[in-house]
Amino acid sequence: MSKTILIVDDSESIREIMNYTLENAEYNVLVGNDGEHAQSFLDGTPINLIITDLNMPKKNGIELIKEIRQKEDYKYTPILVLTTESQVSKKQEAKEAGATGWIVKPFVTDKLLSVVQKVIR
Amino acid sequence: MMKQFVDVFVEEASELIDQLEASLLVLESSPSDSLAIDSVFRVMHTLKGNAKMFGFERMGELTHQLENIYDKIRSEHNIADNKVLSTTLSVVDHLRNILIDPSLKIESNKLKQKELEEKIMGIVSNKSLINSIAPTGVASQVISFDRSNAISTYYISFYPDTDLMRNGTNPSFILEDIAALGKSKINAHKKDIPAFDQLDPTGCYTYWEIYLATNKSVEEIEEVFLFVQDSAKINICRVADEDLLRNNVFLKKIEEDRQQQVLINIDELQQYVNHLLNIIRENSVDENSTTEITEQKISILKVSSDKIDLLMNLVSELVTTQARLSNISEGSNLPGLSTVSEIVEKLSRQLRDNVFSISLIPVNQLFMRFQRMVRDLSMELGKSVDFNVEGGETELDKTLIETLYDPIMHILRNCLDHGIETIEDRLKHGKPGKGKITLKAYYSGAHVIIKISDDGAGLKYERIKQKAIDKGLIGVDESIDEKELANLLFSAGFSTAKKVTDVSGRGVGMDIVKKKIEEIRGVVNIESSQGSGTSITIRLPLTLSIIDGLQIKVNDTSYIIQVTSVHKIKVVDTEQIRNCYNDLIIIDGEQIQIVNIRKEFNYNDYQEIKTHVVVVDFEGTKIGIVTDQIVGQLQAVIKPLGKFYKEQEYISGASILGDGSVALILDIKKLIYQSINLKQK
Amino acid sequence: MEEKSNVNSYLLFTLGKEIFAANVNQVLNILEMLRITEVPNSAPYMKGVINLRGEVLPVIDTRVKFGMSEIEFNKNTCIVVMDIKADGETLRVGALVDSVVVVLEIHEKDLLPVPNIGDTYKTDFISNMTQYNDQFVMVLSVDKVFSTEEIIDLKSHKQQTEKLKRDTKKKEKEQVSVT
Repeated sequence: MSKTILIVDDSESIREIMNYTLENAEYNVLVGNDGEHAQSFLDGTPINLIITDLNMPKKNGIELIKEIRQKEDYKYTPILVLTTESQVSKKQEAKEAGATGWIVKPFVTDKLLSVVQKVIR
Repeated sequence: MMKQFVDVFVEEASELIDQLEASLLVLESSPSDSLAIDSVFRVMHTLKGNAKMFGFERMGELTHQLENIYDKIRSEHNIADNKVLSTTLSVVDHLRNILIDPSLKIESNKLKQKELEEKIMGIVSNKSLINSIAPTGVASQVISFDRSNAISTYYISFYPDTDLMRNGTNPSFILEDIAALGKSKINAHKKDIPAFDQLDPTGCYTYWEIYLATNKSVEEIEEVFLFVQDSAKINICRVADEDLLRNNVFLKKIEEDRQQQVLINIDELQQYVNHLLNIIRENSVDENSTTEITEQKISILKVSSDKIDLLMNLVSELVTTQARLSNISEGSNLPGLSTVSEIVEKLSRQLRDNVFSISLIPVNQLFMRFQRMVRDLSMELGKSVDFNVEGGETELDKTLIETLYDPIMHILRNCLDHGIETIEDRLKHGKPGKGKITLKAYYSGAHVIIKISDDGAGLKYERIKQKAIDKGLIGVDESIDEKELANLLFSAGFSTAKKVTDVSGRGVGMDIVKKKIEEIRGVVNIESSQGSGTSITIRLPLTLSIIDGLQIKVNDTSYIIQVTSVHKIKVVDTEQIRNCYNDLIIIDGEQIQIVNIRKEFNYNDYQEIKTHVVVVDFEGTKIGIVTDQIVGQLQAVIKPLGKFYKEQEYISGASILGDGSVALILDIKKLIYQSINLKQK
Repeated sequence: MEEKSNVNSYLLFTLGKEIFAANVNQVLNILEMLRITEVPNSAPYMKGVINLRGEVLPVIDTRVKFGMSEIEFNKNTCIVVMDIKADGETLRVGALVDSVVVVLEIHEKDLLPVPNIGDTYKTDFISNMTQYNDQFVMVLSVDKVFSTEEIIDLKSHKQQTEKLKRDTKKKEKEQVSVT
């Protein structure tokens, strides 16, 4: 059975390229336009991985991660955050909130897949 | 990077830039508006991140620096002063340019980039932001190829913290990744497991020793542990510059160590290996190294428009053929045919949408570009204007959009310069001080209509007439109606503005507008009533497009009308139509004006007892279109009727139906308009 | 020996009793009658449109175009699909004809000039005259015939045909008398 990945980003181009790449790699992809929208998917639907942007207009990534970690269903679900450049402080903040790892923008699609494969199989 | 994504980025970026501009304009009037500052910051941030991702490095650099400036303003609750705003606005213009010319091939863009970078640096140093600003740009991604291809053997120990798995990390994936790097031997060891009552079921009580023979570098191995660096003790040590895992002696040692749960001391291991290597070298064999061929993938394609045209034609033929297949499958009992037909339908729809989207873009991209111009110009002219944009989602061929920029620009300038009066004049005439300009796009049959209207002074017909007489365009005594007079404005060299401004009124304008629009087979029309405004309509053909249509029959001919405005469909006694007074009938207790297609086309009366009436919304009123029969809804590929029917007023195109016959696309709006207008006259 | 370059092929078709010829270079296709969708409010000679392999093709009632009565469909009725040049563009059009006769190779020397009958009315539309089975054939300037919006008065052409007949007979007689 293919794994389900929830991607959360307010930028359409990033959403599209992630969606395209992940769907091509035969993942099931759920797409959230921002933190608030993403929550509508977190209703017990089995999700194997969450990839979220940090900077979003409605509910930022850090808040989202904290809320995800509160939910019994998603307590241990791997979460990857999208960070621009190597902002050490942001990565650290995200890890403390409960993120599993990070993907540094700009990324190439192969890199995205390799990072995803770091956390789910 | 695939072109489709770059396109999405470009589209998204231009929207973001428009949004940025709008926020900047807000900031200009209220410099401390924190929402606007937030918005500017966020847009810069997104642009920065995405630009670099899609190869727009220069855009990335500029926005990166500006992001920092606005971040600072935001966090320190400062205001965005004039210098910052004007610089940002120049950046906005420049960003639009480099969206088209990302690698600054055009000399002026190159110079502008430099100028803006300097300006921004000036602001940065001025605001003593220098410390908080990272060096320009990120280190560019260096892709290095390890050409040596030589295999080394590593010893790796991986001792994770007990709570490793709490963040969703799965250590077995890490081990798999390591194994994927080359040949490996993995020894797992149990940590001291705590008493059962203290045992955390989600804890990690294992650690690992790994021997890895790989051509990868230490950095690449470290990469595997990237996410667990600070929640595990990791030691990676290169013990040999060759593949020890081919050596049976070494493998045997590893196996013995594993069975006896020996903890490796790295120094001892190194000594052992060195000893072993000396023995091996005596019997060394040369290895042929293979060269890796790296393929460069082409991800952006330039395709000639001819090829796209051909593709479009093929696709519309496919859509038509598919409709035929659906027809056949509906009337057939062949098992499986309906499934295949449905799949083909789905595929051809997807294919069609994709191919069409290659060259269609929403007019909003064009419309947004005028916001700034209208604002700047109205300020310059001392006028106050509300600029409304409607129907921005209407899609048009990209080439049409590009051609439209100049004509619309010119029309808008005219609206502002000649149309909208000064605030005092407006108030004097009992109008609100603030003028209104509306730019609107919508579909009409096989056409897209772009309408630019203002609530300004309207055309001064007397003055136009005088001027036309002066220029010898009309005779002194010639009787000419207002419509003809208005259209004289499109004649070459016609300009009535008393004072020649540098905005418009140079006498080259409306004629060029007309010419340009005609070049793309459009028609431009002007309507105006003195004192209350002017509206200019540009009617553009869609040579190839798709509409959601309602198929109807009149006099045994199939017509398609666009369904966007259909309110309801009613079966009415033909008798009621025949005997109605003043073209009014009652439908569901409501009096509705009818337009009888048979009558409009001079056909005989319908002979059947029942007739079908489609009730549509027409400029806010309900109009009943009298047809013989409604066939059903369909998606129609619009084909042009061609030059032989260029005089055709009400038929804007044709479409091929599933049974191979041709249906005509009826421009219902025009039909209603003409029918009602004639009646009033 | 005949020079091949001086020979052109023509499609001969009838409208009523008259035979016309069109250069086959401009003829794409000859279709049997199929359903024509009438377009309302159009010129009387515009019969409607048909589906030609996914494209919408306008169809002209050539009889009406030549001032004859409207075409009556029967099993011989055909649509001749042609490419015509007008204003620098190539337009595709279907011409309804009563029947198609033959494709004929005509040598240049057999193409007779159109006789001048005084103030001729639109001789532009006929480029040459020729003969087929003892009948006169009018060779059409297809581009001009189908790009004009007017209805061509064929009566004047009839006069031309008559005159040509007379001229030819006279010539034949002369030739006879010479030999």
